[in-house]
Amino acid sequence: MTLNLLAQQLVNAIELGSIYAMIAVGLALVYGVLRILHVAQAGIYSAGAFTGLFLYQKTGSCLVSLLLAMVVAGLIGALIERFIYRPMLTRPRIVALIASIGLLICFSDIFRIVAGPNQLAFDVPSLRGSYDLGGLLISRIDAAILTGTAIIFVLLRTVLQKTKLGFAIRAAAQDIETTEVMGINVARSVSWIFFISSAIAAFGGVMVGILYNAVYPDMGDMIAYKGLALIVIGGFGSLSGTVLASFLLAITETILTTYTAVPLSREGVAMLFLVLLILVRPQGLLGRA
Amino acid sequence: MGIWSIVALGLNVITGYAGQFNLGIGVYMGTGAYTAAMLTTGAGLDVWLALLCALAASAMMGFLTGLPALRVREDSLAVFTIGLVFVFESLLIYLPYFGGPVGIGRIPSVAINGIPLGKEGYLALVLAAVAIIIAATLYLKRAWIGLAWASIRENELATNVIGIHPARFKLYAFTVGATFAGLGGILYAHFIHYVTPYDFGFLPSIYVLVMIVFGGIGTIRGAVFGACFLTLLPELFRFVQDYRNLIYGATLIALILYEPRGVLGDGSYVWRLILAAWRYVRTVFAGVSPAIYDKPAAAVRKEVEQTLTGHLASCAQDSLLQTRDLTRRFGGLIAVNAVNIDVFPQEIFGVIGPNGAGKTTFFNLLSGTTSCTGGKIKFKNHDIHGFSPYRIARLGIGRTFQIVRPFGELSVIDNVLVGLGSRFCTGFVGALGLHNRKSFRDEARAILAQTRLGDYEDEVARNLPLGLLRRLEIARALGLRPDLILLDESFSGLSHNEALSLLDLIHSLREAGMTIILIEHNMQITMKICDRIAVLDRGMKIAEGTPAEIRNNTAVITAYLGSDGHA
Repeated sequence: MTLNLLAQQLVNAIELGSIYAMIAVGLALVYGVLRILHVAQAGIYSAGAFTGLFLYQKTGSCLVSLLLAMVVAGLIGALIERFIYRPMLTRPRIVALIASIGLLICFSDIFRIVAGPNQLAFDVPSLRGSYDLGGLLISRIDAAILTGTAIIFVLLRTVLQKTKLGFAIRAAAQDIETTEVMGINVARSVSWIFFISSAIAAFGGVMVGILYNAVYPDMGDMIAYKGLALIVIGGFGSLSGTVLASFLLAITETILTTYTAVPLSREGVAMLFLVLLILVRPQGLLGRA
Repeated sequence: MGIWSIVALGLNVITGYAGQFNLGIGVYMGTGAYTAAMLTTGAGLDVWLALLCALAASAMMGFLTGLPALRVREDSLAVFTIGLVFVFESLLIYLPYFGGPVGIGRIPSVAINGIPLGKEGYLALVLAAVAIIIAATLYLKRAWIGLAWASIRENELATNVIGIHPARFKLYAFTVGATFAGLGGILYAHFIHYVTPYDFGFLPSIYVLVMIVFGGIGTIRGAVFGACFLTLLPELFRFVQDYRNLIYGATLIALILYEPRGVLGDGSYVWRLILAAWRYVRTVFAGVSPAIYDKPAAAVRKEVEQTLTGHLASCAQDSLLQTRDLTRRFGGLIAVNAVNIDVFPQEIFGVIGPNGAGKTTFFNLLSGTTSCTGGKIKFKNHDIHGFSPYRIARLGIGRTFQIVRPFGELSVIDNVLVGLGSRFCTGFVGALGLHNRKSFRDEARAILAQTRLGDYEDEVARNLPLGLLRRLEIARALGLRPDLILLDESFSGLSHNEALSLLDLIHSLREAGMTIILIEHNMQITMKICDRIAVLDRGMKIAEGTPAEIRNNTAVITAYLGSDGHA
């Protein structure tokens, strides 16, 4: 039974890790190229969840609303980059951070005004119920999250490694100016980065909305703060490091809050872990010294 | 408003002056507020006594969080402080000792002579506190410590090699900033009469950061204005209650897009207008002369110089600098391999070698910016092996960088003053001395005249062309009054005339008693000015001798032209 419980916790942890990874990878992509701490990603994440819910209520199709929500969120992300971040790139980086905070405040207030301050239910009957794998219960939404994450990461990896766009992104992450001189349209690549990272965040938002059956204005905040810490621990801009850090955090968080009596909230435990990890390896898990 | 001004000024010291991103100012504010609250309610301590304890607690918190924060910089530090503020908030909520999520209530009002202050009285108290903090900040900015902070903000490594210990000064900044923020927290506690963990969490911390960036980071007026304006803003939009935050956020984005320097920051539109108006007013009335303070610092300087010259005399016969088997490995690569050199006083010593020979690494070992993995370095009979850069700099080794690292936003004379100051501002108290005293300025001017930078005294360093920046780096190092100066490819990228004037400068430095080691690619120059030359190739010294000897050395010719001997 305890073994079973442990396995169940592990599944939960992996699921949590996938969610962290989804928001952190987007942040890492953005940070990798523009060196911006993109806090407003939290707003995009909630935007994805709200759009997904709205579309689901209209269409009744989970897949369609998920994909559309990703596109909408992606566009929002690309627009934010174009009209807010781009004019600030020559400025000290704290300027973009402040703008990002302003955006986050706007986002959560817009949702509050449009949808009200209360939690909305995001009930998808087709994802209810669970699979029984020899005593280990995996709900269908869990399965959907895990498969979805896997697909997204495989796709992302292919795009980054195999396509021209991915090549441009990786080059721009090394040195924007040189990449531009090589005749690559960096501005367009950056728009794509924002589109991709926002779409991934929206996927996370929709899935978490369904998972907890709740969508509310500041649902993304805590995850985005943790995401910022995760990209530091992953080794700024290192995608595999960020993913690794996400799962590490999820597992530690789950185990510590289940099996020990630390006098801290779940978030407190997570943040303490992140702070300690940053101190132990300031250059990040996979970063070079 | 006043309370937030104080907190904002605290953060301004840490982030604006010392350049350390801190998104967790709430930790210090909260420490002050909670200590005051607990001491006055639980322990029943007198408000004023509790205030002193709470200030000490905040300072301590600044120091303690500053210690680990030294390991991380910039964005990592920002994220680290975000983590800290969440841990702090969580601790306050979950440890029963702190009153849990509801916090601590019934905090008494501040009383003078047993009579509690009314609303107006408290306002006066807060304003007095603001005045004190502004005065303190003004003083800090004009003291050595302010200059040291600015140089760390501009370029930490360069600060280190001119004899200032960055870690120590960052800790000062954290402690001072935390004390200010703590005072704000204390005043807040006595004003609202209850404190909850959420008052000092992440969002309030962010708001304080927004205040100083909004108003103009690194300026006192900006911090105060930002705090006042952003506290008032929600009140202004009270008539659209529902859309308050939306407007707040949108205003923030719009203003930062339009005026990224902050409304009253240096160089911002509004501030330029105000300055122009002020200049106009000044032409109408009489000019205001800057105050010049006097303190017995000339004595200190004399003392330092005496010990230095005494030292020089004692080791005039011996080599000034000596390395034995000096080695540095990077993984499998041996960048510097068992190098032995002896450099004698007043010598001009050249280090040459093909690209990748380990010349710059060799310099880094001498100045302590890279630690050696083997061997010994002796300077003036001190074993300086393993010393931090700032200690080596204080012993009298100045250096320049191959890729120039000026303190870009500081004026040319301030760049030199930082180096000058590192000789005096050793402790916290020493660092509180003022740097714009006439004796210091005169010394800095003398150095600028020597390096022919006198015409650019008040120019901001980043505006100078490369040739002048190279000389500025030398001038900055001269501020240390070094016995040995290391020049890393100072000639590269210079025009013919610039190179000639640099050549003169180097000769005049030697006349003044200094020893010079230089790395150079330009053979002509090296052969012309060096007394002796060491040749490095793949980390090893393959030859040493006078220029004539080097020119005819077969090993050197092979290293430069390839093993066949013809190119």
